[in-house]
Amino acid sequence: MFAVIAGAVGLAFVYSGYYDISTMTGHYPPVQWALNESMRRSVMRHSADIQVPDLSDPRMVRVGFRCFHDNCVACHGAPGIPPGDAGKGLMPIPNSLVQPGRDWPAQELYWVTRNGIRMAGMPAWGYRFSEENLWAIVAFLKQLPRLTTAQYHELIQSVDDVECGRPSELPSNDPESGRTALRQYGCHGCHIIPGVVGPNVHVGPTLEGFANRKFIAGILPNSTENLVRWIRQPQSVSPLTTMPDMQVTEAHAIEMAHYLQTLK
Amino acid sequence: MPSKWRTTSKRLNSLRVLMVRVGSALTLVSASGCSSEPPPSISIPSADAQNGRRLIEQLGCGTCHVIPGVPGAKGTVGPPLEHFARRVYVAGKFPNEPEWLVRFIRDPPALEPRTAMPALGLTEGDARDIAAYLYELR
Repeated sequence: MFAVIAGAVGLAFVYSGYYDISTMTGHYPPVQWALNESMRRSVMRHSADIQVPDLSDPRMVRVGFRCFHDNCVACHGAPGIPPGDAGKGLMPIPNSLVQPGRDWPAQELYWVTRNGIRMAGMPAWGYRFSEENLWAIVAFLKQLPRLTTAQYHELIQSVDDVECGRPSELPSNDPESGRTALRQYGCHGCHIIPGVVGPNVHVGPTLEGFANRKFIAGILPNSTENLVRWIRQPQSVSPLTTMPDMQVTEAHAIEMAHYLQTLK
Repeated sequence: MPSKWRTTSKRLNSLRVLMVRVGSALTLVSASGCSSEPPPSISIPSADAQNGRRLIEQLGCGTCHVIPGVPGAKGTVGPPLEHFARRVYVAGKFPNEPEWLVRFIRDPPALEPRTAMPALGLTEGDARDIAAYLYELR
């Protein structure tokens, strides 16, 4: 009985449109507390068993700096450097990483960087950076609180020769990996994909029953090899297509293709 | 202590299962049209959607496409045309507006030379009727 009433109240809340989702007004303090506390506890719990590698190698810190400066500053800022406009308007605010860098254990920094935080604008970087570079970012974050503004600027000058590499792992045999890859490249932002909960939009065609589809994009016969090619370079197959090149690695494209070909 | 933990985690697990079930139910609700997004209403002046449906059946469009309301239209060569009015693009390339759709239906290779979809030699009027029917698929 209680569950039914709670459900009805919940649905009424959803359908009334009463909740103000604007970021112009802030959360009430108890809401902010609940969100923050859930986030912290979840990070602690999920990262508890992660083994931290040696983070003291200065080369590793330099690679981490390159990744950080190119990707994180836009929202989080750095000593003496403001975040970009997109980062300023987010809610919750992507706070300066100086404090977590100093106070959070390395495995927690790693977990958040790799997995992101739902409903908080923090993306997962696990599909953008190699495992090695994720740890390099953590190694840099642990050094970040010790840097002055001047030292941070010196680092910018000194990492021109350093690159922040993409993930280079081989495709996984885990059937779940294809679903995760589709999610992590945002495929469900345009396609309906069974098994990947998304906004249900019809920008690209629905991928329901994809295994039975004879052609990809109306052009290529549907095979794993062609599908990987299409996912990675749609515009080389069809120059007119609105489907963009999402910079999918070969391994991830193979995982996606295997999953899509299970959709009968 | 460990057994207490196990009970808690079992409970959490059944809560998870429950949430997944409620979630799937809500997804079904939204897929069945009870969502707040109204399907777009696109009309083509003086076109006859029912004639379009007959033409689709006669021409055998269903050999390649799944088309709701057309008997036997269960083809899997081209994409399914369910909810066609909601589709933002025609063939993933052209804005889904009457002018583009009619052009594409009349002569697909003229717009996309690599497409597997053939030109069927339709008149402008027939293509407009077919487009009108597709826009009824919301």
